[in-house]
Amino acid sequence: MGKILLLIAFIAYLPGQVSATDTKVTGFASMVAGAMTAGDQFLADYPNTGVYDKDLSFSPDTTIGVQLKTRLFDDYQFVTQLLSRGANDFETDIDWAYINYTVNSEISLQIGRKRLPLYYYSDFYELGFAYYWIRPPSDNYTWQISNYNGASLFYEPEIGNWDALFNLYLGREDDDNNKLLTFLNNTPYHESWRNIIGFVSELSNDAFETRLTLMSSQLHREVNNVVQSDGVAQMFYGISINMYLGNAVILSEFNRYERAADNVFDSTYMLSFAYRFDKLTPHITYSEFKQQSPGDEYHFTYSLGLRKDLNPSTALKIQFDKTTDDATTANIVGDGELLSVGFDIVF
Amino acid sequence: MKLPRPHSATYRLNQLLIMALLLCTFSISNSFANNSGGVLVTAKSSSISKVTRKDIRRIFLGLPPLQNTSINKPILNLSDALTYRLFLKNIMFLTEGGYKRKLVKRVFRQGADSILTIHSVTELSAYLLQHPNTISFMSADEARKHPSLVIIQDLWQ
Repeated sequence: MGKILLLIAFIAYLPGQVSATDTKVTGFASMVAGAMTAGDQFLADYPNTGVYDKDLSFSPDTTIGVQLKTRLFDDYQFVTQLLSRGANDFETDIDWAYINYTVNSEISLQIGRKRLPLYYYSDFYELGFAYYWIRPPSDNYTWQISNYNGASLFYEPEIGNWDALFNLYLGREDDDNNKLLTFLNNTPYHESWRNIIGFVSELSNDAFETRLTLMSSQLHREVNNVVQSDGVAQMFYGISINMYLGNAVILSEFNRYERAADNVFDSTYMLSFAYRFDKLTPHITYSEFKQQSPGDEYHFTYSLGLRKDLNPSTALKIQFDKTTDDATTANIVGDGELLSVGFDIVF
Repeated sequence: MKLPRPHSATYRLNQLLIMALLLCTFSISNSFANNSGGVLVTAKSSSISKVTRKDIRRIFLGLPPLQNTSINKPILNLSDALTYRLFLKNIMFLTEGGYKRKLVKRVFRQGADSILTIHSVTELSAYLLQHPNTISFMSADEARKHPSLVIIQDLWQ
């Protein structure tokens, strides 16, 4: 974090290069309220441990984000995204802070801190306006590392009538007190993902979208200051296929995480259907997390919801989730039902 | 010839028919106005002379153009819903939902610039004049009403 603040300070003091007119501000917010209708706890946001209980709460999913983009020189821009999450007591985090270099019209290089693009919604997870749920299906989005520091190369050509995106990234993330693992195990966890190398490819047109993701890295984990894993290879891969057939929407995502040395194999998947009636989008979703071994973590969720677009930049949402936690030894928070309403805005 | 008396049923029916015909005429002429074709416009003071269709699509997606690097930025003209829909269909090959989805993702995922939207042709015209090398689209009929703008090229017929 200190290095990022130094970087921001350096950019702020670039003499005469950056003027106020070169900085553009955009942002988004999701205000969400929810309460459980059955069960004791509902883990809505795994990475940030946003947890609902029986009392009405506004904090687990509420997020406010501001993005600043400053043009430094002709082909260089500095982009930072500041996020304030209710799940983190509205402390402001620097989620993104990178320098973008536009190599040419189709290739760009980004260096700095970014979101780790493991899942389809990973790098716009907080941007509620971009999807019809209150939050992306929780069972799918159970990863403990959300960001990385490193480099990311984008190649965005058009192939026939298809928009394509190829992204190669390298980096590392050290999390001194990992929120999710500490919450789940009630013990301090230090989690490092080192030598991260990943690749994402996307192909899309108006009706069809497909995304492939691959990531390998080495895990270094300390539990209660005792090294538990050091240099253990881990692998993540997944595929998303989305279809927009007239007013009907079909979204799907299948992911697999493997850490063979520790015999850990996790699978997640999600299938969702929606139908757009002008400004109203009712939807139904099934998502599931299943661990093959050594634990038996297994939970799945049915979600029913409705999104109403109020205008081109705001939306109202209501959603009901029913989660079943079917593990015998590796329960997360148990069965639960949650009713939540949300308001999303981009500005 | 025997004319229907005022307030008689035939008289009222005739009145309704005339109103219906007038409404039809109005809506047909209106629809012809909207369907006069779409054009790409800029200010007369602009140096832009031609933009490839591929670049128009890239620019309106927030991507850098491949050839027309002099273009400053695009403006989404939302003053006429039909022209906007035809632009999305003929140039972007996207529905409104698909287009919005792509734009929002590009802005917040890759730090692309958001695209300015203007809801009034008068405002759009004034903006283009103040910002040379900015482009937008409008119906051909509408473009001809603004002598300070220049039609770069036809987008659809």
